[in-house]
Amino acid sequence: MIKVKNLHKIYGRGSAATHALKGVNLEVRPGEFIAIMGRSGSGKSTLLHILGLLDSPTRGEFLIEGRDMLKLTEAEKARFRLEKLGYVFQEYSLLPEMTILENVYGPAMCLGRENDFRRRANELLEIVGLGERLKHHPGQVSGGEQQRAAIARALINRPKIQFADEPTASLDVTSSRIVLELFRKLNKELGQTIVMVTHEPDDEKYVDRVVWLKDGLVETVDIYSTGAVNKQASATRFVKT
Amino acid sequence: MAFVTKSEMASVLGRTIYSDRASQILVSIKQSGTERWFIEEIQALGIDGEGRSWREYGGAMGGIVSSFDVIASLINGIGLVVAGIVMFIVIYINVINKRRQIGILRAIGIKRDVIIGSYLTQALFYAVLGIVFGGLAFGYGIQPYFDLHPLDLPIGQVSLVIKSTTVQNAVLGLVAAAILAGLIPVLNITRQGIIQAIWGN
Repeated sequence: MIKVKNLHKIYGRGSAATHALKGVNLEVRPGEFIAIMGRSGSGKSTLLHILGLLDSPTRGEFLIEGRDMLKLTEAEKARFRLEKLGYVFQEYSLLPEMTILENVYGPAMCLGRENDFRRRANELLEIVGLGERLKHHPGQVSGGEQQRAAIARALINRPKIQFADEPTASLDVTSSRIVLELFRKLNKELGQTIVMVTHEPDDEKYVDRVVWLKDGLVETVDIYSTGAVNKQASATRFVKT
Repeated sequence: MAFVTKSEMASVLGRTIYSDRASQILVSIKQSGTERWFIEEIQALGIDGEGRSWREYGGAMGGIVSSFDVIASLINGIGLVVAGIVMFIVIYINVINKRRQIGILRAIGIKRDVIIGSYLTQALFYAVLGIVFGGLAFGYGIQPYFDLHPLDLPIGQVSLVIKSTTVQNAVLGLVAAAILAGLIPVLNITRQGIIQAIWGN
């Protein structure tokens, strides 16, 4: 589904240049839930931004469903993001002037593909457990609920891939657990492909694979056996050579 | 407009009209600004004579009125610039405060044109409010007041006249100012990268 080869990202020029990614190779299969982990400055957010078409690499290959993403114009990227990708950001990213329901169906309205986007937004908010909060504004619900609404918004256009950038970083333990279990449920029940950046070691147990980045390179990939409660015990660690 | 023959006028006035003594006919019209139309209508009747507006005929008075027009144009221009700057500041602050939200909207795939369109609509909404409130204030407040209480100047009593062309120009000017005031800040923000807009780096 996603394939990147020898991906580089350099910020700045000359002596001030920072090599954020130094030749990342990665493949994400359909229906996979992967976590990208690493220390601060390892390049995990940069990689996620490039995978999510929010930023462009300096060089390398980048394909989604066999399509070369580096050949898309800005307008084509915007359309691709709206149609095929979903995003959940670290901080609550809902529009405060709109209700939870309006926030969720906004992207569907912009896509203009479906007439019954309100009904779908209602259904998604039921799935994420916010059926009672449709008419509330973001400021009237908790951080965890806002994040769940953001997940519903990310799903409204039936994206092929969902990206989450440290989605639990601003949440308490209980809300984090609810959000991650929701991601897991969406992955298992809807077959949603999810790529998540996190620095919480506990989040490993929810994902199929953890890609560890260090200094702009994939250091190791942890693969977890499916369905096991204690996946960490059965994890197989492959050291990238 | 009515044409009265000499004999009819004599019967109304009750005295003989001295023939061939009048060299001018003064025509009073209700609405200033329509002089040219009346002159053309009178000349179309085939009257042998020169038609001049009071402004052309008035000499020094015409100059004073022209000065009033220049002052009015200056006030209009300054008002327009002030309105444009106020709208620009309001929208600029709004755009700066919502930079992150704009970045998120772009990230989730909302088209740049939709975002620009929403801020243009906002600016045009302010312009429409200005036109409606300005029109109401002039039409039902300032102009009736000056009609009742004209300014007493040495040249005579001076009141306000709002010509339709002045109103049209003001409306068009305000709409143009609103478009510029809305477009510049939002174009500036939407030209930034999405990452920069959301995280400021």
